[in-house]
Amino acid sequence: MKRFFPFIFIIPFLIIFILFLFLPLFFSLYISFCKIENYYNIFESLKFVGLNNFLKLLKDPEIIWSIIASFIYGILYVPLLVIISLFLANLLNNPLLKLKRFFRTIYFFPFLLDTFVVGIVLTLIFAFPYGFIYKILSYLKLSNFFKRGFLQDPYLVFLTVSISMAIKNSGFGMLLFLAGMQSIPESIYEAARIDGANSIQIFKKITFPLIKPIVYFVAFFGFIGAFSAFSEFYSMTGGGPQINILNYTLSETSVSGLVLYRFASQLKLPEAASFSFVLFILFLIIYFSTKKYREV
Amino acid sequence: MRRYILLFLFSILYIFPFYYMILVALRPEVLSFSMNILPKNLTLENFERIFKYHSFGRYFLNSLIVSFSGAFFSTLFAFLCAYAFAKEDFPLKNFLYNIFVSTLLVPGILFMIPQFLIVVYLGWLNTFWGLVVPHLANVFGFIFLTEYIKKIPDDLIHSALIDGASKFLIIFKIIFPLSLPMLLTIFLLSFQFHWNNFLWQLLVTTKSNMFTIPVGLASLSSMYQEYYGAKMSGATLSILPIVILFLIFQRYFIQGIIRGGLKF
Repeated sequence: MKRFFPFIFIIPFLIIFILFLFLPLFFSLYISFCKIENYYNIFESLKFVGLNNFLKLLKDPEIIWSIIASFIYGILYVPLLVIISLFLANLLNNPLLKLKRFFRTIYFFPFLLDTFVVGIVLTLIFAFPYGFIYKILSYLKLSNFFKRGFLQDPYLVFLTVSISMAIKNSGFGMLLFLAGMQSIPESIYEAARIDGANSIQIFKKITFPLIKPIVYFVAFFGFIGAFSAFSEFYSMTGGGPQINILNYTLSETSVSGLVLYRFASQLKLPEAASFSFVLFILFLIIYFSTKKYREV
Repeated sequence: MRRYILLFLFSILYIFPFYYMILVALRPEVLSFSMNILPKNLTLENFERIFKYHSFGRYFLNSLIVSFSGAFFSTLFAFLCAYAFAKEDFPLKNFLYNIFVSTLLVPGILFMIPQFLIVVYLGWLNTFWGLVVPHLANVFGFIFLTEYIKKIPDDLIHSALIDGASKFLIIFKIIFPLSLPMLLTIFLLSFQFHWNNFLWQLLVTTKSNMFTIPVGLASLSSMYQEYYGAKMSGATLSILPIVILFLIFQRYFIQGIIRGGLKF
C-alpha cells in the first residue's frame, strides 16, 4: 500500500490528463463511427454507421483541399520561421554587441501575443486599398503590381500569412538558437579566424552544424504550429479568397483548423471527430517518416 | 555599424504594427487610415464605445478569471505531480512519464475535438469549468518542474524526515520555496497560454456574457468589418496584461522558453 502513497500527489494532474487528453481520444474514435439522430439529445441518440463518416470526408473536395492548404502553409511557413530566427540569432550573437538585451526583447515580444489579435492588427496594416502598406506602395508608384491586395490575391495570400506568422513567432527560434550559439566555445571561432575563415564560412562550417539539433527542434515545433493553424487564417483571411480548382469552387485558405472549428461549432460532432482522426493518422505518418532526420 | 542598422530596421518591423495599432485605437474613426504616424488628435472615444456598447469590461473580467484560475491550478497540479516524479518512487512511473511527454508531440488541435466532446457531454458549454478545466494538465510545466526538483539535494529531505517532518511539510517548507523561480516561470507561461487560448474559448462560449477578450474581439471584428478604431482599441486592451507581465517578469518568460527548448 505504501508504494502507492505518492499517487496522492499525482492524482489531480492524472485525472485531468485522463479525462481530457486520454479518454476523449477513445470516446471520439467511437463517435466518429456514429451518427447523431436527435440533436436535442446527442449522446443518447448515437447510431453506429461504420466507416460512413470517413468515406463522406474523403469524397468531399473541400476537406481534401483543407488538408492540402494546411500543407502549403506548412511548407512556406516552416523554412521561413527557421531562416528568420537563425538570421536574427546570428545578428545578435556577438559578445561586443551593445543593446543586445533590448533588441532581444523586441524580437521576442510578438511571440507572446495571441495569434488572433496579431492577425487582427495585421488586417489593418494590409487593409486594401487604404492600408499602410498600400499607401507606401502607391507612394513608391508600385501599387499597379498589387491590384488585389495581399490577403485577397490567390497567389499572394499564403505567402503573406506565412511571412507574417514567421516574423511573429521568430522570437522563439531566435532565443533557442542564441542559447545554442552562446554555448559554442569562443576558441573554436578564434581558431577559424586565424585560419582566415570569413563570417559566412564560419556560420556554415561551425555555427550551423553545432546547432543543428536546435534547428530540427524549431522546425518540428514550427510544423506542429502550422498543422494546428487556425487563428491566423480566421483573423486574416476568414478562409478566402475563392478559387477554382478542377471545376470545384474552393476557399483557398480554408485550412484543416478552420474546417474542424466549423464542424465543431455546428455540433457536427461525428464529422469533426472523424476528420480529426484522419488528421491524426496523417500526422503520425509524417512524424514517423521524418524521424530519422530528427535523430542526431 | 551595418549590424546595428539591420538590427534597428528589424526592430521597426517587429514593433511598428503594435505602435500603429495603439495609434489607430486612440484616433477618431475618420482618421483611421491617415498616414500621419505621429500621435496627434488623440481621443478615447473608441475605448468608450467598446466599454459602453460591447461590455468589454465583462470580457476582460472573464479573461482574468480564466487565466488566473487556469494558471494557478495548472501550476499547482504540475508541481505536486512533478514532486512525486522527481523524489518518490511508485509503480508505473516511467510508463506514465512517457505517456505524458508523448502528448507534447501531438498538435494541440487534434485534442480539440475530443476535449470538446467531453465538455459537451458534461454540459459545460458557456461555463468557466468548460473554459478552464480541460487545459489544467500542463505537461510542459510538469517536465520543467520535474527536472528542476530533481536538482534539489536529497540530503535536505532526509534531514527533515529525521527531524520528524511529514511529506506535506517537506513539500511546502522545502521543495516549494526552493522551486519558486521555476514555479513563477510556469505560472506566467501558463497565464499567457490561457489568455491567448482563443480557439478553445471561441468554441465553448456562445453566450456573450461568457466571452473572453479575444472572443469579444472576434465578435467585434465581424460586426465592424471596416471600422478599425473599435477593433484596434479591443486589440490594445487584449495585449495589455501580457505586455505588463512581460515587462515586469521578462527574465522568467525568456528563461522558461530557453529551458523548455533545450530540454528536449
